Amino acid sequence: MPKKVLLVDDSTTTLMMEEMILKQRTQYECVTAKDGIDAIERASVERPDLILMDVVMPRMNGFEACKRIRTQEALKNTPIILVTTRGEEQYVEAGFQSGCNDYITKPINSRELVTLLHGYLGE
Amino acid sequence: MGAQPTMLTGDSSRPARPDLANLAKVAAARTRLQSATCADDALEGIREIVANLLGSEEMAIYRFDVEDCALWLHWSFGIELNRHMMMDVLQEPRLSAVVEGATFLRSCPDDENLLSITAPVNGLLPLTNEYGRTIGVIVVFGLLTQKEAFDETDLEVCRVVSTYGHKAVAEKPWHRV
Repeated sequence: MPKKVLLVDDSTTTLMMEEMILKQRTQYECVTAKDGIDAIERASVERPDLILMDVVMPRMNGFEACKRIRTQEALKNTPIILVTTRGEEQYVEAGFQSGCNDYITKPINSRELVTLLHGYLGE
Repeated sequence: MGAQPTMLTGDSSRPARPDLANLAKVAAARTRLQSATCADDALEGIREIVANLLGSEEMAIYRFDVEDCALWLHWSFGIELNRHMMMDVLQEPRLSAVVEGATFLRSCPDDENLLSITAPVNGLLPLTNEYGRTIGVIVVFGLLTQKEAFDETDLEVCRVVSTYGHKAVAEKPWHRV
């Protein structure tokens, strides 16, 4: 069974890019969601092995979605990586307080992303 | 107007050699813009590409007026441009080159500003229609803090935007200020 990654972003361009990177360079299966609320619903149904989630999104941002996902028993240990446009410490700190395991900054570098995911899911 | 080779600032002869690992960026940008359904969707696509793939949340799109050789502000994101609603192409040598088809990207943080205005300008790229004629110019201002400068992959992404992004200005009515 391939590992499953839930990609969450309101930008269709970013979702396309992340999906292309993972399809080209990994064996992971990808599912997508377009905002925080959608992510919670998809995560409950799909039970992904890892969640890669944007921070700034409409309806519900990545921090809040991360907190809510962590309250679900089945997902409380699922690695969550937040994608942020800001590298400043306060945003990183807010990310970890919301329960994320790691973060990666935009613009995403393919090698960096794949290396990060391999670290959590293996090759 | 014939298209000139695109270039990174300071090195006009170097061909783009994007990192193969990052070609997904180029493919995603092309797919996004080719599938744009209208001018507003194309604008949103360009914003997504500039913000998420190139690393800037400050950009503007100008429409090129051939008759008075000027750029008129068409749309902007993340930056107030009251002082730059219009740019005289003849006053800016790089803008003259851009309307001829050239692309300028700062490839080093120490490169000089691309325009003579006070706001930092890190990228200038043309929007060309299906006949290869420049109908608009995208100006990329400040970069995200973690993005120091553009690279060869960014240049390829810009070429895609130049080629496929023209719908953002081609179909939308516009008004001079």
